Formats: sequence, C-alpha cells, structure tokens
Amino acid sequence: MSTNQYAAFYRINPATAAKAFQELVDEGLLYKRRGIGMFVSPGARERLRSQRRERFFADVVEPMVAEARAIGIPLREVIQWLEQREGEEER
Amino acid sequence: MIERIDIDHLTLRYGDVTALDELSLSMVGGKIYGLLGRNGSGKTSLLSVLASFRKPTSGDVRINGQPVFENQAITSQIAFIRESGDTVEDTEKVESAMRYAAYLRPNWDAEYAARLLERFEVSTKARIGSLSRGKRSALGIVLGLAARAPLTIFDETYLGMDAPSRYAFYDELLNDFMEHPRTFIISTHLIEEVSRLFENVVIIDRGRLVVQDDVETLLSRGNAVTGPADVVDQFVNGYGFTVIGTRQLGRTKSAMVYGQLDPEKRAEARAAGLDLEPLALQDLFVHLTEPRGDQS
Amino acid sequence: MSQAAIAQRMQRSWRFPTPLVTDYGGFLTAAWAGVLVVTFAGSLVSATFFGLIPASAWELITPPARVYMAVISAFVVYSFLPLYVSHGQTRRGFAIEGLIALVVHAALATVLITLGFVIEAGWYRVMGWTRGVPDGHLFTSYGNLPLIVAEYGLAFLVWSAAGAFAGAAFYRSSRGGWLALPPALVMVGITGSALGESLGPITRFYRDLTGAEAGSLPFATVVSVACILVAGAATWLLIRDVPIRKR
Repeated sequence: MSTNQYAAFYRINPATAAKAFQELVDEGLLYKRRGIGMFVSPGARERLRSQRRERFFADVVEPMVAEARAIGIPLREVIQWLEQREGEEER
Repeated sequence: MIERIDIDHLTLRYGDVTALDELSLSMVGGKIYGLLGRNGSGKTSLLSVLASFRKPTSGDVRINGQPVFENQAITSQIAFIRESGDTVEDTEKVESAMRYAAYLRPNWDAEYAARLLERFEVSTKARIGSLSRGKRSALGIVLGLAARAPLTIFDETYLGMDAPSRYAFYDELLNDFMEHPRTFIISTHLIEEVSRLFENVVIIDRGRLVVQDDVETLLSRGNAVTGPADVVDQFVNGYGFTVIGTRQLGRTKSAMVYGQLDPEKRAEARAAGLDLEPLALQDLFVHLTEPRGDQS
Repeated sequence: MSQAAIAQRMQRSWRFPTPLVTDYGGFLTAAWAGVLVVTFAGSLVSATFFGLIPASAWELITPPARVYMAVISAFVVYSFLPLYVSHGQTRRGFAIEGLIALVVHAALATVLITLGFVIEAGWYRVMGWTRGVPDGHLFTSYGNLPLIVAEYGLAFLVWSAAGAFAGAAFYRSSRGGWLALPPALVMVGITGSALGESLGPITRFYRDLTGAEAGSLPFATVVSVACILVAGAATWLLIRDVPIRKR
C-alpha cells in the first residue's frame, strides 16, 4: 500500500501522510528499500509493545487514580476490584 | 509548472474601500493551500489579483518570477473558480460550457470532465440556468478540476452542495492532486471538513496577512490552557505567550495561546494542575481573526 | 489536446476562434434562411391579398439586420470577455479573437444579405414582378453586386464596432453602458449617412459639395473606417484592464 492510498483513505494531505511514515522510519519502526517501498522492521511489534508498557502507568494508571480520587472512590476499592479480576483470570 | 508565487506589498482598493492592504506572502508550488479569512477579509480580492481577474492598485504579484497581469504564459496555467465558476450564459447547455472550456484550456481533460459530471449527476443536456445551486457548484468543480491547471483555485466552491457531494469533491481533489501533482488554493468557511487536506494555511484579516504556516506547525502552536484563573494567568504571562482568546466560567479560566509549547513547559503546566488541549484549526482561525472592539 | 497545441495555447495569446465563428455564424445562417422564407412568403401574401408588390421585400430586413449585428457584437464582448479571462486567457487574446470572430461574422452577414438580393431577383423574375432601388444607396441597381457588398459590408462592420464598444462599456458598468449609447448611435448615424442611407445630412452635404447624384464609395469608406477605428480603439481602452466581476 502506498502513502497516497493512506492519504486517500483517511482524506488527508499526502504530504502529511508521507511525513507520518517518515517519522515511523526515523523511529526505526519502518525501513525503506529503495525502489520497492517501506517495510515493518523486525522487532517493531516488540518495540511498540515495550514502549507502551513503559508508558502504561503514567498514561493509564495515573489518570485512573486521579479520577478515582476526584469522584471519591477509595484506592482500596480499586485494588479490590483489580484483585477480583485477577482471580477471575486465574480460574 | 508553478514553481513559486510571490505577492509583495499588494494593495487593492475599490474606491475608498481598501480590500488588500500591503499584503505580502509567498507560496511554493506543488502543495494544497488553505486560504482562510472572515467575510470581507480580502480572500476573493487576493485570489482575483492572483488570477489576473483584477489589476492591483499597487504592489506586485509574480508567478515563477513573472508578473501575472495579462501574461498569457502565466494566466493560461491558472484556473480560478469563484463560487460556482464563470462560464457561458445561463441559457446555454452544460455541453456548451464543456466545449468552450476544451477550446480555451490548454490542459483540458474532456474524459475526466465527463466522468466528473456523471459522478456529480450533472446532465450535459441541462441548461445551466436550470441547474440547482448545488449542481451549479458541481459544474464549477468540474471546470476547475478538468482544466488540470498548474495553479487551481477554488473560492468557496461548495454553495448549495450537500455533505455527500462535498466529500465527493474532496475525494476527487485529493485523488487528482496525487495523480497530477499541482498547486491548489482552497478558500473555504467549512474549515473542519477540509483542514486535513491542507499542507499549508494562509489566514488573512482586513486585507493583511495574519499567519501562514504548515498545518502541523500551526496546530502544534495553538493550545487551550485551562485551570484556576490565577494559575492560568501566571503560566501564560510568565512565558509571554500570545493570548488569542480567553473564556472564563467562575474561577475556571481557559486561555487560547499561540506559541511553541515545548515538553518542559507542558510538564510544568500539568504539574501546576493545568489542562492543555490542542486547538482545532477552526478554533485557531476564529480566535486569530476575532473582531476586536478597538479596530473598525 | 496534443502537446504542440498545449504549448501553442500557452505561448500564443490567440488562435482562430472556431467555436465563436461556428456558433454565431451557424445561428446567423439558420436565421437568414428562416427570414428569407418569411420575407418571400410575406411578399406573396401582400401581392395576393392587397395587390401590393414591395419594391424589394429583402430590402425591408436590412435595417433590423444592422441592429442585429450590433446586438450580437455587444453580446460577444459582454459575455465572452469574462469567459475567456476566467478560462486563463488574456484580455488582449480575447480582443484579437473577438475581432476575428466579429469581422468574419460581418463578412458572412454581407454575403448572406447579397445572396438574398440575388435569390430575390430569381423569385421576382418567376413571379413577373419588378424591383426598384429606393434612393439612399451607393448602388442604383440590385444587379450591382460589388457595390451592394461594399455598402452592407461597411455598414455591418460599423454597427458591429459600435455594438462591441457599447458591450464593453456595459461590461465595465451599466452606467458606462448607457453613457456609451449616444456616441455609438452617432457613429452608426454618421456612417449610415455617408453610405447614402435616408439621404442623411452628411450625404446631402457631400452631394451639395460635389454635385454628385449618389453617395461615393471612397468617401463612405473613409468615414466608415474612421468610425470603426474609433469604436475599436475605445473598446480596447475599455477592456484592456477591466476587472472580471461576479455576475
């Protein structure tokens, strides 16, 4: 698939689409092969997953804690709920 | 090919009214530009001078370094579609409009025009005067796209068109731009619909340039800072941000700021309990061109 | 369009305006055929029911034909100048193509008018009628085709030029258009007079001066060409930098 197809599908400027792909190349998630196209780097999936793991507590858990505090749910209750989920998963 | 467009201290007056006031800006070819401005800000005046529809009162418009007015080598590369576009008389049929376009336009693609007419459901046998407003706009779109002009300008070419037809237009524009790269300038009030098509945006107000930048840069610079009023003021004033608008509800204040917000400042704002939200192009436009009491 | 044609369109500001010439020439020819039939039918009706045979039935349509030339010319400038400019052509390019189209149009009209007289000759011969040329022409016989061509050719060109001038003035502004009507009428009046039509003051003056019996072709040519040049120059001055306004 070409960047132009992405641009057409998402109705975005092709230069913007190309820049987005270039950023992925710069991050090493994609690599270019001259005259053929762009490919997903080996290990890209693993790297993305580890990046998201790193950000998980800051991006997901922190806001959840803040929200719980704001609406008055004690953290204890949240933990209990999580433990219950853990128990279900183990079964 | 349009390499570049240079507008230098361009002034256009209609009698006592100054439509363009020493406006200067440059564009490079091969991009889709958005031209935004309130009604009466001078958009159509600017585009009219650019397309040689009008002679400037003073100042200079050059394309590829050459003056535009009455310059065949340049004007033949420009298609300016004002609202529904200018064509043959209302008593004529659509096919007559196509015939004259084919005769006058050096790069006219009759096959593409026929395809577009079909897509927008405009009959070639219909009298132009009998077309609905939306179909008339669609005819303007056909005249603009099928001209394949190196510089193609659409000035509010959507009047009376329903959302599905407008999106069909955006799809055609984008696809044809990718197949036949050229320069587009699109002037519109439906900013949210088309902003993602633009690579670069020019905002003018009262005949002057307000801002011109790539869309991403523009969007990264516009932010709403929301939180307790005193904290917002301290943060905004402390860094000397350009405040383009504020709103307040009780003790909560939201300041629309324009300026680079690097990660340290973002972190600082979050630490101070402030919410940061990027502004949409529409909001940015509204605040950058808001009427101000001190100016008439 | 071929690459060569594209290059030509971008470099040269004009070509032979085929669409304009065929559209208006085609309409003119069709209208002429219709008018021809109506005129002869009318003369037949007049002769049968009223016993009146026109001196020349075809002669009757020449005044409206002149006005038609002016109206078409005004319309071509008014309507096609913005079409040309909005399709990427220059005002100069339109001026040249419009000039070509209107001259060809006037030439075609002259041929058709003359042809009308020729066909009428046959029609009158068949009916056994006689034709008479009224006073006020350069020619004294409907058989004098070169002078018929000269007279109507000059008249049509002047009326076209005056019409183009008025059309340009109306395109600039409607007030300007009304202001342009008196000078346009003066121009067609002067030429008509010089061509001998209605024995206007200029022809009378010329006859008094020279003692000639009819108008003079050289004199009429000089006056007509002067009017055409004045109207043409005025038209160009009006359109050379005119803004293309919204309808």
